[in-house]
Amino acid sequence: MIPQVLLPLMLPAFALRATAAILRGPPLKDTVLLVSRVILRSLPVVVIICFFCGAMLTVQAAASLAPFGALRMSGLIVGFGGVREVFPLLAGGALASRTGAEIASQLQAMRVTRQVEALEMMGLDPLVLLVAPRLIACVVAGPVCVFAAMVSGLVGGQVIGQFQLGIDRSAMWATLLSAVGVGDLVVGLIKGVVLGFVVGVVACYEGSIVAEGGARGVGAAANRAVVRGMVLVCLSCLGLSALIYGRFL
Amino acid sequence: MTVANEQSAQTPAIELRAVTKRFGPRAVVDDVTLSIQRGRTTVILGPSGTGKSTLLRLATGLLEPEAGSVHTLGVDVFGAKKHELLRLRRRMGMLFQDNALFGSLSVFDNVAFPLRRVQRTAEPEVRRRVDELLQLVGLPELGDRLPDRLSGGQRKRVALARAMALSPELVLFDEPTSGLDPQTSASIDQLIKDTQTRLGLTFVVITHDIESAGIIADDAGLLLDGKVHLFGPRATVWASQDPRVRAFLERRAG
Ligand SMILES: Nc1ncnc2c1ncn2[C@@H]1O[C@H](COP(=O)(O)OP(=O)(O)OP(=O)(O)O)[C@@H](O)[C@H]1O
Ligand SMILES: [Mg+2]
Repeated sequence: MIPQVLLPLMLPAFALRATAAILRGPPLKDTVLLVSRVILRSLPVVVIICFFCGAMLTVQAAASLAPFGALRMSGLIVGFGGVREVFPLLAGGALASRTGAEIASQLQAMRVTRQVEALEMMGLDPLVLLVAPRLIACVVAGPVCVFAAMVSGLVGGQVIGQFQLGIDRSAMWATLLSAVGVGDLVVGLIKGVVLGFVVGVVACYEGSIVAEGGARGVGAAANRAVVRGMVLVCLSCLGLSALIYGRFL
Repeated sequence: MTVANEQSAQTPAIELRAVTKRFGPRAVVDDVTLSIQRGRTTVILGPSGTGKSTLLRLATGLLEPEAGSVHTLGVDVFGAKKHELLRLRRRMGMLFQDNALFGSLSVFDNVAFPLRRVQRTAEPEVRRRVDELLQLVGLPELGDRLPDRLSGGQRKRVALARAMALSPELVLFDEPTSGLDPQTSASIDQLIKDTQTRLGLTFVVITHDIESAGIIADDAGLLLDGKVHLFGPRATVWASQDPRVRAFLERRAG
């Protein structure tokens, strides 16, 4: 087993090898299937979480702005904080818990049942055949999930604004969208690519390393993929925000 | 298809020199030197847990030894570059002890996998070849099933068909007949024997089944406690008066 302290060294090395494997022609059909599967399985989680989160942010914004007679401005908070920070973060978290766990357990199960060795014995490289398509799937799914997260978060805000706070529909949309620029969309999509990459690399790494054997190893790999994936998602979100938005301070 | 040139024909199929493999403090393969010849069937016998499967993993480069060198089909397995090792493995087939079938693929797709992905065979030819292989192992009806809906013996036979799919020059069988009924075992033995004599391939077979070993083996080796206790032509091994060999062959508690 590989000691935890080596993770900061092993993970980047694995990321490099996995990225190189993408350039060596992973199977197209598997990749397309995985892309659609990852998106279809992660999207519902993303949409549900962000819808409620957008609604909750709006309630809090309204509660703090109403005393100042600025209820109509509630949408701004969701526009700024939600779209720029919270929704992409949640999308990354949903991707890590849904897809990261699935990839790690799937690969680890293939390893303990020696399916990976069977591939190697055919002279095939598991990095190209198994890891590369999954990494591509995550990198593609990342921005899709972030975009869906933004939209459903805004819709959540709109719904609560219209039905609980009684702000009329077009006014609510106007404040929500007034805070969001094309730049935010671009940054969100960049975040999505980075989050997808991070989640994919961690999941494939946890699925590929030699851990405890058997069913327990499979569960443990999935668990580590989620926990480590989430931590790295948070770090990358903060890093990107500090780098991009921090410049304007 | 069988041998590339005369020089490589003379090198042994598998040659281990002073190979030691440890798991923890225990040497599971202990300073083993062994030479397995081409164009024949070599059977490796030995009690459970003596390192037979480990020996096959070492010969294929799936496991790295702590000491010693391994040459397979003339290639230095642990001196070779990654792509050389992958190329070498395409000349081998392996039946894993626990089958290692691809769980998400049907029986047909499992057997077709090496043809499609390694050899890039055209689809009509894949279909013909897979049908032929499934016929050969006696499972022509089960192509559409997923592996987890097969019996243990059926799975073994699918794995056997997959290992043979590319007609490799060297095939390693890790317990091809364990878990099979006597009749199916006998037909697998016959299959191994016929294929070997017909194509002149090199087969290495690990088995607990003394009767089956008596049918298929040209050479035989007995592995005890991580060491090669005795190795030679089957007749010599079978005639050995060594008490531990006799105990094993006569299935006495030793
Ligand atoms: N990955 C591993 N980690 C630790 N120990 C191992 C590992 N693989 C095998 N061993 C140990 O090495 C020894 C030899 O294992 P191996 O699988 O080679 O035995 P075998 O001769 O094939 O036995 P069997 O006939 O039961 O298949 C066993 O005692 C096993 O516990
Ligand atoms: Mg074994």
